[in-house]
Amino acid sequence: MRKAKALSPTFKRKKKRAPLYYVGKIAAYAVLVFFALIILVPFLIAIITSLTPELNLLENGFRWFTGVIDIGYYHTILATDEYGNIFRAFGNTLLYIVPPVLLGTFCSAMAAYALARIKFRGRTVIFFVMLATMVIPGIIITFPSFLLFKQVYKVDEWFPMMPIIIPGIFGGVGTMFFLRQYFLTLPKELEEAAEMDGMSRFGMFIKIILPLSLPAIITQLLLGFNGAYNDYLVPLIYTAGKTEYYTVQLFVYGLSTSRNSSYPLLMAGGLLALIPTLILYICGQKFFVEGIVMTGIKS
Amino acid sequence: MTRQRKAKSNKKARRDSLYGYAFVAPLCTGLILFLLFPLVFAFIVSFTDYTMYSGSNFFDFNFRFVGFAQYAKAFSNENFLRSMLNAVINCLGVPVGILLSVILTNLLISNKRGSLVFRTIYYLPTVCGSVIITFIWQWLFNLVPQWLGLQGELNMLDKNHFMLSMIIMGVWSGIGTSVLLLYSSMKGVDAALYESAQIDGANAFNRLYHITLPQISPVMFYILFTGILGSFQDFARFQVMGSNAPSLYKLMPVWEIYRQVTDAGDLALASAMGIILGVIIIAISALQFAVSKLWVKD
Repeated sequence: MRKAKALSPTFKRKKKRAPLYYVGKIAAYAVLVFFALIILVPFLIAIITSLTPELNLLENGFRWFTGVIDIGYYHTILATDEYGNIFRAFGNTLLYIVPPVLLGTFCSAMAAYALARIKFRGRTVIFFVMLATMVIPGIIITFPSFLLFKQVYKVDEWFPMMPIIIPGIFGGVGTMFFLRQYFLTLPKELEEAAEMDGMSRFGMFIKIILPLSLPAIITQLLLGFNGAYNDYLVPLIYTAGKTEYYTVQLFVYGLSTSRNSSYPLLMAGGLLALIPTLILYICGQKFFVEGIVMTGIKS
Repeated sequence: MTRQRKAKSNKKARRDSLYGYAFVAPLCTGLILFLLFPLVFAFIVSFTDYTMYSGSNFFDFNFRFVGFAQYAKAFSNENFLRSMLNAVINCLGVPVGILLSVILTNLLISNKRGSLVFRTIYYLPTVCGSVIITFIWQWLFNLVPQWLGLQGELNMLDKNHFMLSMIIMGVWSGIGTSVLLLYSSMKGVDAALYESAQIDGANAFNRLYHITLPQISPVMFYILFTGILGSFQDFARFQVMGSNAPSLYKLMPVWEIYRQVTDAGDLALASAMGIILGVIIIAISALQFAVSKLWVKD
């Protein structure tokens, strides 16, 4: 007892820190803040530019403080159809991405559950064949798919943009793999108890597995939405210049080819297109950060 | 009794495997229809002289098999070869990005206060669409000469600077992912290792080199691996930055393939190019795995 008392002051004494320690801290934070600024300043410049009248820009070049705030570009994009309708582009994008992301995640989860928990012949083979497909670079199949859709599957006769929507609905191997890793960590006892109650496999999947893996599912949904929202190549191929089918990304691209294109206009359009991304990112930041880390660790 | 139980468990196993097949069926169907068939189709088309002109249907079989002619054409296509070279140059950004993110992550690990804010900021460009990011950078590259006082003399997007500019932009927009991955793996490095190293008198550099780097080598390998795959298949930002007006020095393989289909309808040549690119990518991946045995700690 006494011994412990005698020892404790040495443990409790605060480490004395050399002045060099603080210099190091300040230097470290200076570097971190500097890089944060490098990331953020381009966005700031975009915001300032989008509010600068083009004439100002032509006469004086870019200025940090112009003294004028011109929301004309935002007004033109949002309230007129001069460059196409941005709200239709938002609507199109939702139409193209919501079904594949929702249904696709569900299908991936179902396959992931089977491959994690249900014993059936050929399970390992199916799993490894699926994994192997991830090596195939997407570009090999992008254009052959285009022709298959036009000439064999012909779903575009029903709705021209069907080829953008349909493949994703069946799920993806990456999502399946991620969710399978997660399902493997869940305790088996719950399913055993459910089986005693006579619950079917499908019931277990819906009522036990999915609710327990909600964080993983949400992560995949967010990453899926973000990826599909930003997709460029596939919508570019299938819309083939038909502006009424444009997604938000193509709408923004279209601003650059329009007759009165200017950087303030491009910045305004681009920033408007970023709003959904930013809302998703800020609300689901935790899921984004963890999702990236978990997909990385799988390797 | 035992036989009865066995029969029951047999029945259960059968029902279970039925559920198993039913659950993987949708994903398998998708993979067969939208991955396997296009892949097989790509191989077949690449050996023909089929073009999509005048909407001629492939299944009218109005084409000839030409053997490896399309592959030979691809290898003698100046655009395609140059785009491959550009893709290799584009990969130079990957090690630069890794170096920067190792430094930043090290600082974040030893200065934990506010690290979440920094990580969130660094990751921001990655969630943003590449079209928008590219326009922002196009504008920045327009401003750089003005800031350096070199107006009219320097053009960041001309023949000599285009790839450099794209690499800078690529590092800027990709660094967040590496920082996130490295951060979580560095956080997992055993603190006891550092303590014993400190007792042995190892300085900060020694600690980084001998303890941290071997521990995080698997994650570094992952970043390098995916980074090079991505650099080879870079498309959107090049096409947007090049304002859809391709010159040799701006081309990327995927862009050239896209152009073959959309400009010329030459699906056969495009498929051959796609397969060549795919084989090169798979070869590079295999090579990376082989080399990784030398420097990545299991």
